[in-house]
Amino acid sequence: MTNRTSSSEINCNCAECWLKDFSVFKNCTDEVLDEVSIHKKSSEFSKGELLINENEEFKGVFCIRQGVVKIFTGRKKNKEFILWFARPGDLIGLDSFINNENYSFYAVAIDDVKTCFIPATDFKTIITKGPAISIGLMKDLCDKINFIEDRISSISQKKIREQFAEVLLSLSMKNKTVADGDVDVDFSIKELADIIGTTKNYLNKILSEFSEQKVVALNNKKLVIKDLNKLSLIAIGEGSVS
Amino acid sequence: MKKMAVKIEVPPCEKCDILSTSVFCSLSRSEISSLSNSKSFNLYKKGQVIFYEGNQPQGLYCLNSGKVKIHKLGDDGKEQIVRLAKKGSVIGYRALLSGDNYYATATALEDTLVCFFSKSIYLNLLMTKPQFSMRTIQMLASDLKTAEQMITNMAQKHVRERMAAALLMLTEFFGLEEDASTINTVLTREDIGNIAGTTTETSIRVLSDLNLSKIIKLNGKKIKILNHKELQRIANVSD
Repeated sequence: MTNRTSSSEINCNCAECWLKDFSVFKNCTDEVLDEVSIHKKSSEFSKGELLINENEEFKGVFCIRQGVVKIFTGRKKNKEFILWFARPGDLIGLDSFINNENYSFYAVAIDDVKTCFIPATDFKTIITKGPAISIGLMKDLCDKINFIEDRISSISQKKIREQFAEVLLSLSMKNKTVADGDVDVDFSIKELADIIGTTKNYLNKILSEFSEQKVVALNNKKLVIKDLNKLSLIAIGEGSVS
Repeated sequence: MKKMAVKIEVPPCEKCDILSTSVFCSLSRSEISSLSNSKSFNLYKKGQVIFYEGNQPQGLYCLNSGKVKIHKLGDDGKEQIVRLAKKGSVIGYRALLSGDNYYATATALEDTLVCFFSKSIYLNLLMTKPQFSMRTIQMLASDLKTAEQMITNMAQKHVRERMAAALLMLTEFFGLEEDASTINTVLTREDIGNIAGTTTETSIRVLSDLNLSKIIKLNGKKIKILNHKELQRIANVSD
């Protein structure tokens, strides 16, 4: 499904790329950048298209030139979890490369995406070319760990109400939005209570608060999210319900 | 009789039995011995803090023995353990790399001996030894993987599953004692809850529940794994 772009685009020069300073290639010499330019391949993905399949054999890294890519896990178990969003200048697949393993995530284009792809063997040669690239890679990994560890810490600090909103949000991501903008949640209150580690009764109490505020609704025992924006605000502790 | 404090000898790096698996494994013998001459060495008592979240990093810590928890403190005072460290682990290197302050606090879980290398020595190794920096990149990638697994578990698994996963993680990380079933660590119920991302109360409740179902055996702070398979099933580890 990958559409290769015209040859003029394939030869776009990394040394002249305006995203260079926002990427791991910041501070790299022109010699290193030329090496990247020679070996990379340009490709485009349309909205919804899969760049990487979980457990697929590692074949190289993608550098995003345009658009946003969603990186997530667990689609097979029907428990999708978003790890991060790759934006222009970001590199996808770096961790798989270093851990020397298959891709451990899915990558899907959430709008029209343009990427430069660097094949595995070429990337291997490139990263041995001087300390600038190593420093870039370290910085990139540090930022990602910080981002995730902050989320770990915040998820455990949250009040049950905020955690509940967060869980609803994360579950809603995988579901298709129906015509009127509502999102179905395919989990029972009991299951949701188990995920958070609270009781069904307590969750029901929060749920009735939420429905009074028209954030969610119960249709035939099925939970429906009515107001994603409000829910997001509650999840970050800024939406007041009462 | 008054008990005398014994002065501890600094163990030389070249004689360290964990050298071959540590971050310094790629260095030559002479590099190792000059590294060893420039390091300092400290004993941290159980519960003592090695570095605090928000402080400026001065160097790299390498554990010679003992166990350490790396934890973050939330606004409401709830602690979350983000990583554990044991003999051979280096801690505090991420803040050095990014030039930021410490992201988390490191506290000794038991009496722990720690070697300390100054910031300039560490950064110099990074800039001049490509293999050393590659090893650091590998460490980062592995830390990232641990963190990603942790957040996925916390967002999606039941509290019981998370507690079982925390016990399995402890087993894998710290290993078992000579009886081949007791986890080689003495963490408090609160600590285990702080790994699984739940309250102390829930942690106690789930552990005693697992104890009742004879999946684990609680013996003071020690935890014995009686039914490893069942624990894995509860943790829902499919891969």
